[in-house]
Amino acid sequence: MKPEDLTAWALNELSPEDRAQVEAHLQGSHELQTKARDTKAFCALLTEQLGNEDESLTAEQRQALLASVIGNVVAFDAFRIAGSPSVAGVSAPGDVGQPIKPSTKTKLNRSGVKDPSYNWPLRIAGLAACAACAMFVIQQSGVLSTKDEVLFEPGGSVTLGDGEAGVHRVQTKRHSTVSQTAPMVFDPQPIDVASASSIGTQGLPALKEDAKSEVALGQVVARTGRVMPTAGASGGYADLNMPAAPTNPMARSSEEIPSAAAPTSPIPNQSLTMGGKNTYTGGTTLADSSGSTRSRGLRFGNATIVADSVDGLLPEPRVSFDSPQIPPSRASTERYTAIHENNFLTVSSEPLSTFSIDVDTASYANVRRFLNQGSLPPPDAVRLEELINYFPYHYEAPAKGAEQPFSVQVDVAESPWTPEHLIARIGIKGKDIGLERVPANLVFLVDVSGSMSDTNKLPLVQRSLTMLAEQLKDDDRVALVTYAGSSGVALESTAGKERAKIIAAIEALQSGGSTHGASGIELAYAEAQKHFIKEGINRVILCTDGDLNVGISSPEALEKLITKKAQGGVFLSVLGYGQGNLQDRTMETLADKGNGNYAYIDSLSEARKVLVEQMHGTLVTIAKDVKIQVEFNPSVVRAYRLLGYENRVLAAQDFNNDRKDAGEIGAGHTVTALYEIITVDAPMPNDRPLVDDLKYQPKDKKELPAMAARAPLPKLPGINDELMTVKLRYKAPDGDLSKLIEVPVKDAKPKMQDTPKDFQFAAAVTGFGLLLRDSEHKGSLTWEQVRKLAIAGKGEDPLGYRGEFIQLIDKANGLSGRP
Amino acid sequence: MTTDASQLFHDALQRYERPLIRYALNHVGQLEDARDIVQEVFIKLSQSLSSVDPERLAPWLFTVCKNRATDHLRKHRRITLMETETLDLEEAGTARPGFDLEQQETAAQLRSLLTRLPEKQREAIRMKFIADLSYKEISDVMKTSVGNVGYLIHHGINALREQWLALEAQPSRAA
Repeated sequence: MKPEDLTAWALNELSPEDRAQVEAHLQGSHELQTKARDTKAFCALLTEQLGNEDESLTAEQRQALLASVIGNVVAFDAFRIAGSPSVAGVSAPGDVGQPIKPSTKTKLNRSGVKDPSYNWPLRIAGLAACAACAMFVIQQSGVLSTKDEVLFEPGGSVTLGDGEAGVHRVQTKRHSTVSQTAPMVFDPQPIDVASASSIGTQGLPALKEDAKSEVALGQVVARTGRVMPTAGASGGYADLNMPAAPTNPMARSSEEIPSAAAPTSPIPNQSLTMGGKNTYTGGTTLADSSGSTRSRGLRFGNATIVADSVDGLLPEPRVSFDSPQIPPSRASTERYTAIHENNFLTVSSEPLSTFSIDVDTASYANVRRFLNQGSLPPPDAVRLEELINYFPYHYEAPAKGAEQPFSVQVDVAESPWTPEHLIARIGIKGKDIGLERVPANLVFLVDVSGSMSDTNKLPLVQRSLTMLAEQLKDDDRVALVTYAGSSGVALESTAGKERAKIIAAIEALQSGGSTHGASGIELAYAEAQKHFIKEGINRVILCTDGDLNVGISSPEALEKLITKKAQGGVFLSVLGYGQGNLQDRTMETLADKGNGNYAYIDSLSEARKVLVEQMHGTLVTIAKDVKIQVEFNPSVVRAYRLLGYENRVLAAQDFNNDRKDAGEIGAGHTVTALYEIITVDAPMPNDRPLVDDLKYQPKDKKELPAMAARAPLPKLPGINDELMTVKLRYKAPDGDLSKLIEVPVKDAKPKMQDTPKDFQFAAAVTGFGLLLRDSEHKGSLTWEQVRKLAIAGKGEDPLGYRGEFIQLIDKANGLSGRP
Repeated sequence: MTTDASQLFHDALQRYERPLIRYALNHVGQLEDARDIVQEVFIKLSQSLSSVDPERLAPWLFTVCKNRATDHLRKHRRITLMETETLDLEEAGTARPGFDLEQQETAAQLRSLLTRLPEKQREAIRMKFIADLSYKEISDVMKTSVGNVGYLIHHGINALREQWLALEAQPSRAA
């Protein structure tokens, strides 16, 4: 026997005959046996140690590869997986009112995908379509492409910088911090202009046909679009007849002016919402949403937008709500998605600002952890809306028996950081359900992987769950499912009255152990389904430090499952624990898909806040898909900026689109959103208009009847002193049809100190966030000012959250080294 | 593109994605680079599906991967990249403190010992333990006989084991 045969034997590389021979030798020799055992052990060590890095391609890379190979069909699948809004629109042809994003790529997708057999006019080969699709997926996924490597070519192939055709390559490095979710997601993409425009031109006949065939009215809109004078910051709207002009100054300006609101042409919406003006009744109006004419109309907007993309020069698509986190790049090295702050938008070009509410609070707890550990949080960990919404505010609750499940209140005051500006606060309060809560069927899906053994992880999970268990009502049900370590049902669904049994099971949880193949999340959903309470709360609560190895490895498949289950009535909430949590964004995404909330539990007191004090808000959803749309009055407001909610911004037409997913509001929850507003009599920042007057657009808007909506001062009494109108849409938790609330807001300029304390406090929290982010919009704000505001706004603070915040201000101040 | 070809591609991705990345990682040392390289490998595969022999898929993939990795090293030898990860606070370490460190320690030791082996042995061992290829597949990639692969691996393993035991025996490493 050759010595290497023993090694081969240890590695199981021998043929059966050789193997038998070696084993015969082994029988006869102790020394050989020892040697064989040692070799085998060492080989196992090598396999384990050298092969233990379970590294894979990023999801984007894999999708791009798959899309590259299998052509349209697979690309299409990849789209669906990506769950992007345009894809949603695409995947359901004939769907009314789905937004189509204004980009060349979108257009290519749309035509290419909507009807895979579509005969491309000038033979843009399938591969190109496919590559374009792939690229779109990647872009939606937020991984910035290697821009200069991608060139569209009329010939139908995509050329990579290194000469490899067919696939768009995803670069993982150096771009990995690029935003996925901020409204301006992508840098202006330098598509090779000449070739892009040639594609555009080639595609044009098809587009026209598309627009026509969709609805006759589309042409009306398109025509309207053409005569509209200022395309403004949105970079223009459809002009079907306008040839692509690489040097189009509009396009350039659009690239330079980030805008928070609808990326799409404002014009169709503008004209459509004109109809809505007669709802300025001065009070809160509640209207049925069906508004079929409206949403129909919006579709023309889409047609327009599609056409729009023809010139290939529009601003980049913004991720709108349906895909707020789209796709969180799952690169394991990435912790926080870059936030690109909303910029000021001019009312003349973007009169509508649309976003989804967000009741997540994780960012505040996370920021607090950083500050308490003596370091400033990375700017991208600071999500303004999550800081603001961490605090409960004392908004008036809706009257008992009121039809609306929540109240809406709007206040305006001078901006503390830029006194010439105004701050408008929109406050929403969900109705309190008191003790009338319906029974809950809860399944805790607990990560028991080895990493959970730290005291601030599993032990904290156990203590939080115990606290929650103590709050249970007798007819509630609780089950415990574990995953990652030993996955299985640790406690079958048990009635709330058996508290001792539940608590004992919680206390028996242990981290570590072997990994089982079973899918923890499917077990959890199965358990929830088994004891589904029809009129009650059905929710899976995932407790993890970020290890999402719940049994489904593909994030897309996981999101899909969660979305599906949420549609079936089982919602998902995510509680994040511990440090070194790399999956901040993913966890938020999952909670969003699951119609649930995402909270970060860094301490027992945070657990108490989320699971005891705000238990109802956490568990009981009183309205879902809550969207806010603000229409600013151009005769009063020159420009506005939404503070925070960067990853929640929706396209204007998404507002009326009931298929568009948005945020949920829980019982007793308050949601607060702030706008910074520049009125017409205040100077613009830097004393300069955001965009110069457009050279090629008609100067006098009044000449154009179509512009009536935009022209200042429609002579309707009582409207001109209005600053804006806040509109909300929401659905009942089990409803499919949204309802509308409108609240007009009068123009007023009180000093901040004359406003409700809660407003001052929210302003302080916002200022805190702006300073932590070192925002370009922080104006003259100082930590001292933030502190004063917070103290002035502190008011009653029975639970001590606000007092703690004031301490955090001091910590941040000390750490930042700024006055 | 036929269904067979796309199936082949799918299977290849499924089976070899991770081994290839580990293999490339061992060459270039940076995960992002390894991913890029492997992506390129699969891009190349997607273009060559008609000409690749499904029976010889692994050797083909690893050969391309090795070439790409070599190119990469040549190209980037003098370029030091700013690493994005270093910008992330508390990137590692806290998730599984003890465990990870220990793991990394052994793995890192073995990797560094590996780099001291003669090139052929090193290559064979990488393909065996990092990429999980069979002797036959390795012999295809290395264009040598199966017997020779057995020889290289045997000697490589013995050398590694000796050096590793010596390292472990050092009192300074006991802590």
